[in-house]
This record gives sequence, structure tokens and C-alpha cells, in this order.
Amino acid sequence: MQERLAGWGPQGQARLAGSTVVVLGMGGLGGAAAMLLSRAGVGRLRLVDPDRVALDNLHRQLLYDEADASQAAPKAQAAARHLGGINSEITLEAIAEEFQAGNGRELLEGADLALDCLDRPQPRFVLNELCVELGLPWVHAGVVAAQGQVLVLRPGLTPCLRCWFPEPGEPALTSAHDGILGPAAAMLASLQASEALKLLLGREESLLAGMLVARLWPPSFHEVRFNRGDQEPCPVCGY
Amino acid sequence: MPHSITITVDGLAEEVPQGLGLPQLIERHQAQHKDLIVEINGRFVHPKTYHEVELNQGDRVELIHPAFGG
Repeated sequence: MQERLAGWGPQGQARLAGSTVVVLGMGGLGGAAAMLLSRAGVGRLRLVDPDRVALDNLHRQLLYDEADASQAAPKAQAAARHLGGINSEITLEAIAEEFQAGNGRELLEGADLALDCLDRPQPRFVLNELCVELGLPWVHAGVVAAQGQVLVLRPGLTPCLRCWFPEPGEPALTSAHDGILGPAAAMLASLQASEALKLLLGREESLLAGMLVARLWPPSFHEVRFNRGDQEPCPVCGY
Repeated sequence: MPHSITITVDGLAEEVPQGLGLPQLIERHQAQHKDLIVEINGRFVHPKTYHEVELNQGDRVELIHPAFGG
């Protein structure tokens, strides 16, 4: 059915089948985004997360169930098992490691695209620097409470994460303090997966241009366009 | 007696003293976080220029706290 979408067709489907996407973080964002990409037919998914499934994950982490929680199953392996049941024609790699500077390059090897579904700021900026260095496009998403944001980052073509956040510090919102609304995580993951599919299909003209800030409670969508003004170029990407 | 102006912050009208600077507005909203995203009248304001920005009658300001959870 999706092949009938304008600009998709068998060629687009073949393009997806030949693509490799690394999903960093298999929580509320990563699980739902990976599920959408596996159903769309992305040929290889590398699922990276060091954590185990817990009961209090289940309201927002759509891939997992009570059996996973009762066994404290590693998320990467449990995700690969569930996704394999959804689409048996794709290749799934489960890696129960924490993404960091030491293993980042290896985890991104061979990828056409990375999805940032991580759960705290610091490794996101590690990913930013690596993607700039490797020229690897990626899609950032974050969620806390009933809100979040999505960014498409293409080294050399768009501002990088450090352009938006020149001096990253302790975040004002944290899931430990503010919680995460299940539908908010699923919404942000859907937006992220949609941008990922556009990138894989070469539909750059339809990509999100700025930072999409989405809130569910009360509902609002707002796109912020970057503007450097007369500031000096970014020390990370030079944009 | 200083004049006041009306601006909109996160969709809500707010009366503030004329000549109020952006850093003071951020402080009034207790939003002094390094990862804050500020947009005024549809334009992103670079954090290094906050001290140069003075608010004007009718400005529409968004103070956005990014979410870094997953």
C-alpha cells in the first residue's frame, strides 16, 4: 500500500530495502520508530541500548510486553525479537551497549542514517560530533512530559545540534522529574520515522527545515527556523 | 512612572515595562537554562545575542525548553 504514495513506488521500496539505519536508544522513541521503519521495509536496523525492560516502561515503550518486563529482558534483544515477528525479511542487529565516544564510530559503521532516540543530552552531542565528522545524516528527537522536538541534521547542509545549543547544560525538563506521556513518545517517534523515510527515499524537498516543537497537553505544533545572525560559525560544524 | 508594553509569551499576553531586555524576561519566567530556545516574532534568537535584545510592543515570544528524554 505505501508504494502507492506519490514518489515512492517499487524503486523507493528497493531503496529502503538496501538501507541501514542505526537506532540509538530503544525506549519510547526508539522502539516505536524502529517498529515503523521495520514495517516500512528498511532492510537493516541496528538496535542499540544497554538497558533492560522494566514494568514502568510499558506505558510508552510499545515494542515490549509484560513477559519482557518480568524477565528484565535486554531491550535491544527483545526489540529485535518483536521486530523480527513483524517483518521477517529484514536484518536486525541487537547491540546491548551504551552509545558513547569510545564505541560510537563502530556503532555507526555502514549506516545510511542514524536515529537519535537517546534519553539524555550528553551522548546526543557525542553523536552530533561523530555525524559531522562522518558526514552522516541523522534525525534527532526528544520527549519529556507531553512535549518534545524533532530536528533533521545533515552535515554540511543544515545547522548541527551544537548550533542550536551552543552551551549544553543540565536540561530544564527531565523524564525522571516530569515523566513521559505515552502518546507524546509515540507522536515524536512517528515524526522522527517520517523524516527518516524521506531521507532514505531521497525526498529532501519534503524534509522538516527547522526545529519542530510538538506539545500534546494542550496540543500545539510549532516550527522554529534557525538564524545564526552575525555570530561566528559553529565550532563543531562550521555552519 | 515607566510605561508598559504588551507582549505575548508562549501564547499568553503579558504586560512588561518598556525597555525590558530579553535576559530580564527570561529571568521573570525562571527560564535561565543553557539549553533554552528563544524565538521572537518567528525568528530564532542566538543565545549569545540575548543581552542585545530589547522587547517591543506586540512582540510574540516563545521560550522553549527542549526535551532530551527518550
